[in-house]
Amino acid sequence: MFLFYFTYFTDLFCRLFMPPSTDDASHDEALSSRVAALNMLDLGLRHLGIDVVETEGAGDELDVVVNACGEMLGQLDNCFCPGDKAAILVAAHKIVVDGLSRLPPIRLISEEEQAQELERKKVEEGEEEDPKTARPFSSTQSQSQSQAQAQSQPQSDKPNTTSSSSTSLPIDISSPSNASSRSEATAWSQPSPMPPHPVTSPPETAVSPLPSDLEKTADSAQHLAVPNASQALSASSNGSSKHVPPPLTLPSTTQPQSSPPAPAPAPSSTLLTSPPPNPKPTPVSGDVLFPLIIFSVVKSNPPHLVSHLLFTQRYRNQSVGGEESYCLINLMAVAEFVENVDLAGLGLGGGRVMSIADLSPIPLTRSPVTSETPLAPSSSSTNDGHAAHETIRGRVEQQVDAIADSANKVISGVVDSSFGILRSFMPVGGASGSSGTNAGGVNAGGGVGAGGVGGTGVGGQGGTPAIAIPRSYSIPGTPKSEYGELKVGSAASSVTGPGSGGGAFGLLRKESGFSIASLAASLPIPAAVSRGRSG
Amino acid sequence: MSKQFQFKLVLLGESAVGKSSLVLRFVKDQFDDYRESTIGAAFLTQTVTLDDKTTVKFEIWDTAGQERYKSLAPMYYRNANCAVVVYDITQSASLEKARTWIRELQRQADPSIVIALCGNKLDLSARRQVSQEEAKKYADEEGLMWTETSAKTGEGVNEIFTAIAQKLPLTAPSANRAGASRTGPGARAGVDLNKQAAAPGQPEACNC
Repeated sequence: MFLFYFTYFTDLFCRLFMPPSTDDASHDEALSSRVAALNMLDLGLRHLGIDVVETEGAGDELDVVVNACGEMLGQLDNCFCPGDKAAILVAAHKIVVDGLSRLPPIRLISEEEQAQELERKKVEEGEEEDPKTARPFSSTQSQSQSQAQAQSQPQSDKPNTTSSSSTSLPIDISSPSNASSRSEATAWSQPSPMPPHPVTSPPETAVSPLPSDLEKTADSAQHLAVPNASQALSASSNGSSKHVPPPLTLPSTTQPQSSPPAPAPAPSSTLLTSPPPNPKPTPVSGDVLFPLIIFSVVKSNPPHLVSHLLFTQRYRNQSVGGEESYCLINLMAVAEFVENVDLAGLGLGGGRVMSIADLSPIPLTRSPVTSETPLAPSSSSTNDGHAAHETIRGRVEQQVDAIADSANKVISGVVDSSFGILRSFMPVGGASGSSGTNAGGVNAGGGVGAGGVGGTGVGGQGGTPAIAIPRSYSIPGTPKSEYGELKVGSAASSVTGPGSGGGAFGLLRKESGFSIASLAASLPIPAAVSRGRSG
Repeated sequence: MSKQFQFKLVLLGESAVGKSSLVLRFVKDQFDDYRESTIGAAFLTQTVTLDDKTTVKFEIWDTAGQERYKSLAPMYYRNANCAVVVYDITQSASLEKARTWIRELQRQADPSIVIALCGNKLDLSARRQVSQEEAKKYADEEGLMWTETSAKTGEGVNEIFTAIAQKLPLTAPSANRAGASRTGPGARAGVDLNKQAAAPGQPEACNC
């Protein structure tokens, strides 16, 4: 029984997974290209609002956790059953949660701080960003500039423009009760936590205060350590009224299981095996779990993630477990976020990848394949570049087929009479051989609709033998899908080298992106159309 | 008679107002046999028993409260039966954020959703910035449940959840409330089934 189910399901899988009527594949592309862009810009946890420096020494641990989560998500490819996939989703969450429970509390960076950071960066770059992303914030320019200059974080292998934009400034505004002031002291000497191979042994562990005297030293450390702490001082002096100091473990909100200021800097080697006794682990809330899952996805770029998620959503009975649906929704939200993320809003250099973002929009509906689309993934995602052609081809096929179905009835009737007129546009000899090329050319020039209709005109003849067809135009018995491939092949070729299709159709195409459909519709044969519909 | 209801409860509010602490307090306080969820405080379930032996099981969905994730919130409060919007009484800005959440819920969420406004960190009332009158007035205007809680001391935590549980079946009376929350996913599956039917349909049409 199970075997039957398995074989049956495996057979169906290709059809059910990434069903051609949906745009799952496009989402996969879009996601992975966005992930590639984020990786190129060296997205760090700090950009997502998590202060890694605070958990010093645990940065490695966090990396381990993140990688494990990414690997788990990568296993989505290896199972077919929706239940298995859902279990993997939960397991990926569990990895993060378990990992966090081993680590000292993680501090969240408040949005005010991030806004400040953005503001500072904008000043630093000396350019005005999109006003949508700019949140009004009244930080004096001189101060922010001095802060910007004060810290020159060693950014490893940062490509030109991003080096300025992605220098994430450690944030100074912190509640005195939180130990984050120490992190500010160390942040300057510590390389950025964002590079893929972060600091292995932070030297500050030697000087970091013990949890017992942390309370005492916190205030003084804030005065001493932070070189540009004028803002921090003002913020902390007025009692954290305006600026939200949101360490994840706010003393007021924490309960016995999360005593706040206990970031005992345990040696990272022992963290995996024996949890440090003193610090109560972070209660994993959505506030911290979600950015970490995002980070895992970005770092691991699991293949076909969106397809897996949508597949699970479609075929997994969601009443099975609330936890499963929560994890599913969480990951879908991750995908949604990564696909639509405003890079400038994250504090990453938005300008550099804007072209990619424009090239691979996330189609909410089935978007027409433009001539740019095949180029977008190959230029953006290096590892998926070779797969891009395959997916594009599949997409074009599916759209051509879909449109062909709907247009078949009308067109096949029209073809009967209109081909007589069309023949005058085409050199008779080359028509049979170049019909696929013609359709593909139109496809590349005028959009899928034109290509689909063109394909239908030819394919419809094969399917409707009642219509008298001039022999030179019909290729009887050829499956429509082959037309699709033919068209795609020629579409790709005409993208790179247009003008391959000869004859009058080529001329028409060059002139105005003409399509067979519009041509046929403009012909003065209303009787033929009505006859085709009625027949 | 004992009826079992199951509701999806979504937690909204600015980050660090104590959403997860609140729910952890609620979940851990009530039952000793509390079983740790596999995914921490992000998703928890808790059962409340009402006077008339009706049990209400909450599936509590925590959300990321950061502003940048705000656009993703609809994915979480979709099909939610109730929402707890948390603010921090020591930060007036968090009440403003709560107001925007509530506006959004009233506009976009299920119209029958029960919204509770919850001022957390009552233990820090010495640093209070949001007066009870202000919050209560707002809640009354909007027809929300309102209370102040302290996740640290547990004050008011169980009360708010119990009050939600009592209000929930009332807002959608008759026993099919549980059915409604059950058919929520079921209805979705139905829609998806149609999609399935359409999905293989098209390739078949093309392979002929």
